[in-house]
Amino acid sequence: MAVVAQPVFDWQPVLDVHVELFEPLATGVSVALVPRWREDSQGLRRANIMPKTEPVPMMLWLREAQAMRVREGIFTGLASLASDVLLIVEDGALDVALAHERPLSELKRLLRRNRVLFMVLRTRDELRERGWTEFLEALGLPFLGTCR
Amino acid sequence: MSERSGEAKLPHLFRRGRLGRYATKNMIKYGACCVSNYNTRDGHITPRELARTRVIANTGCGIITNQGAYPDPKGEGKSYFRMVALYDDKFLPQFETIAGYIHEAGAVAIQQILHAGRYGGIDLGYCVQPSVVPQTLPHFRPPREMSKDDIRRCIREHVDAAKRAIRAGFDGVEVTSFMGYLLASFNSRFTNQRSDEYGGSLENRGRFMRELIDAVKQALPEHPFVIRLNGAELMDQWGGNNEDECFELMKQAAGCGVDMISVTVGWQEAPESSIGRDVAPGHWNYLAARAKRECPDTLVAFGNRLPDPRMADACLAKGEFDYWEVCRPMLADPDLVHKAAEDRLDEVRRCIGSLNCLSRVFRDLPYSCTMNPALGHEVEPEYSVTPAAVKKKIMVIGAGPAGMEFAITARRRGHEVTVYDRADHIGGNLLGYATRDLARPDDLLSVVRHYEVMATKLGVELKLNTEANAKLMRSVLHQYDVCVVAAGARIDLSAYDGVPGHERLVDALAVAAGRVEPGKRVVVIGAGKIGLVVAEYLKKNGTEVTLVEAEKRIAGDVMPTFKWRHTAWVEELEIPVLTSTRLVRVTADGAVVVDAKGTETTLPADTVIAAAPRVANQALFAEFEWMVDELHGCGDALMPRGMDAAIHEGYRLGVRI
Ligand SMILES: Cc1cc2nc3c(=O)[nH]c(=O)nc-3n(C[C@H](O)[C@H](O)[C@H](O)COP(=O)(O)OP(=O)(O)OC[C@H]3O[C@@H](n4cnc5c(N)ncnc54)[C@H](O)[C@@H]3O)c2cc1C
Ligand SMILES: Cc1cc2nc3c(=O)[nH]c(=O)nc-3n(C[C@H](O)[C@H](O)[C@H](O)COP(=O)(O)O)c2cc1C
Ligand code: SF4
Repeated sequence: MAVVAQPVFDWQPVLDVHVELFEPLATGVSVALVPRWREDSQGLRRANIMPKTEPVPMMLWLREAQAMRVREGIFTGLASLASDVLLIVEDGALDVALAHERPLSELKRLLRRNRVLFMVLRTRDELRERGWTEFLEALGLPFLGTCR
Repeated sequence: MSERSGEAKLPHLFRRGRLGRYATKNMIKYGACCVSNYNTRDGHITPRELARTRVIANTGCGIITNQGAYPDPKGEGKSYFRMVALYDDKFLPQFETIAGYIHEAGAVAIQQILHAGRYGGIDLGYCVQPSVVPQTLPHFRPPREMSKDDIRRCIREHVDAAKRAIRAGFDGVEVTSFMGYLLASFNSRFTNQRSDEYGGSLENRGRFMRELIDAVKQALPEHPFVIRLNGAELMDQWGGNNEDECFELMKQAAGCGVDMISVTVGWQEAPESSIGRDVAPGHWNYLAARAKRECPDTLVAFGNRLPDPRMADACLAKGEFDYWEVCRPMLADPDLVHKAAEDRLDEVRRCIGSLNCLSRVFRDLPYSCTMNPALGHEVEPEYSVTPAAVKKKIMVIGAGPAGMEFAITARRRGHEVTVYDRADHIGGNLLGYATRDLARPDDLLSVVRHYEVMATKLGVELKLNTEANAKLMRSVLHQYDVCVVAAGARIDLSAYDGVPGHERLVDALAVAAGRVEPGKRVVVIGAGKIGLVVAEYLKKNGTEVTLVEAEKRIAGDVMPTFKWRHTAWVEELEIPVLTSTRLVRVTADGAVVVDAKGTETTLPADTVIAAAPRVANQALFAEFEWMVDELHGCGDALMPRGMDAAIHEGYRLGVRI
């Protein structure tokens, strides 16, 4: 079964370095990091990002009372995902980021290169109220507008 | 020149055409480019919009598409803050007026029905979708899945809106199955993950679109039906349709008997550019050509990022598409078609792809255009160019965009205008910006060329290589009634007076203007628009560059729709960026900087360039106060901003002086 990054807890020091990005977040909110693909029982490549899917291990960055913590979780589809923000990760992309001197900057680059895809599960106002502005802006994700 | 001379040079654009049972006077379609945010929050069209639409009607196009209206009373289809609605007869009177304007101008009138789907529900807190696939941009609302009943209701609402448009006097309707709007999201593999007959295969995904086309065509068999479809979604990496699938969907629409396919590019959330200045004019033409090949019996309209009538005429000659569908070029210059017909193409104000228009729409503001300061103000006589009641002699100091825009506007009103600039050319700092721009120098240079042409044609006197100062002013005392200071802004080098070694700093404007050649290793202080343009240009041309920015993020003063472009360039060019970092010392070896934690770093450099802060050149206001009857200012000389403010202020002063 595909795992998003291994071992996921190696990401804890990265979150600790960027404490200022996570400080404004409301307790209990999280980022889910889910592998984009999995192999089914017949060895076929399947997309995980579906309303419902086979259980897939995911990494969570969960805002606990004191700080942002890395946790393990199980992704069973979008319909049951409680996170506010979802990062969908191509095989190996997070390991590339972690190997980098500044993993969050590398993550931003991977987002731009579509090795990591980004989705939100809340409205813009809810995201703002829950304190996501700093984090999303740091990843270069525009809060407003589109059209290129 | 007679009108025919221009038409003869563009014979394919200016030949007669036919859309269904309607003859068109030429092969030009005004693309729905008018989601304007000028209307009321509940979808009623305002006098401001009507005045704007009258200008659109008179652009000279053979077909005019009126802006997209949402068809449902709940507003699930509503995507813009003040978008117009067509779900009830109460909206009819203004649509009747618009259809009347279009017919008066001799054009075929098409009303667009726009259900934004994924980008809709602006007032509702949710949007409707084939499946619950979350948004990739926080700007939009979380999706809810449509039931089959919802689909049937939505088709009925489209039919009702279409019938209403025809009752209002429109000749035909256009439906939006592109850009990620509702039908496009059913067509897409990415957003449509249904397992019923509306999902799965391409055939199933296109079912909603086909049913909707059939229903509207059955209700209105005599009236042309146009559909907008993507030739490329640019959503492949998200799992969206590839180009082959897009063309299969086009064939489905053609098979349903649509009269015209309007080919477009990109979804709103697509991660790459489709219509910005960084995309070369003509880049997407191959999509239209393929549409024509795949659907030879259906009219194809196209024009995304194809701003030049000569290029469009050549495409028509080759049979690449049938109608040139123009949008932003006519925002920038509503007289484009007339100028083409009259062989006055050199007078056209080109759309420079700045995307100021869409930046504003996505901030829920009325749209405006960098190149057309009157756009959106057509209802206000104060914004039109009228003969001046008192003809004045005017001196302008500064031949940048503010000064030149003012000069040609004031001259058109009958004033006598002389422009002074100490440089040996016009264009001011825009020229440095244009030549260093990574996106498309030719677009920005076209602005300077336009001023050159118009100054010559209108008879604006230019006095170049002439510094305006108290001495000059004394020498022309009482010769001018008005002085306009459009002297721009400079980098405020005095801000670094306390920095040891500050005398080694080099001015970014001098580098941009080509007056100073920097060394091989450069540090640029300030990652706003000027610092970014200079740094990117130098890096692209082989210089080693580091950017230093005191704020937390770069591009703070850059227009929202262009910020991402700079971020991407900085990344692609691998320019190191130090944010929350200040300059503390300049030495022979480079720049010493300090970050927010107080850590000092030495950045080796041959040249340290200051690109911020800027300060307005206002000294002349004080010097000239007692020397001339009227003294005014415009552009960066009032406050350093950018090209848009310079052009708009120059115009606004010109129409009222
Ligand atoms: C590298 C670079 C990048 C830029 N990037 C952007 C961008 O991304 N977006 C944006 O909107 N803008 C950008 N700009 C800024 C933009 O070019 C200016 O805001 C714009 O040119 C201002 O127009 P203006 O007419 O007010 O002044 P200017 O263009 O500065 O023109 C002023 C003119 O006055 C003349 N002058 C000054 N004093 C005197 C005097 N005493 N006597 C005679 N002549 C005088 C000068 O020679 C100059 O020609 C950039 C500029 C540069 C250099
Ligand atoms: C301000 C603005 C509003 C627009 N409104 C609509 C609209 O209502 N319906 C639509 O189908 N397209 C709309 N468009 C897209 C244009 O029709 C067109 O496809 C796009 O601008 C690219 O073509 P161009 O390069 O000729 O501008 C709009 C574009 C702009 C810039
Ligand atoms: S604002 Fe810019 S992109 Fe939009 S029409 Fe005007 S010049 Fe073109």
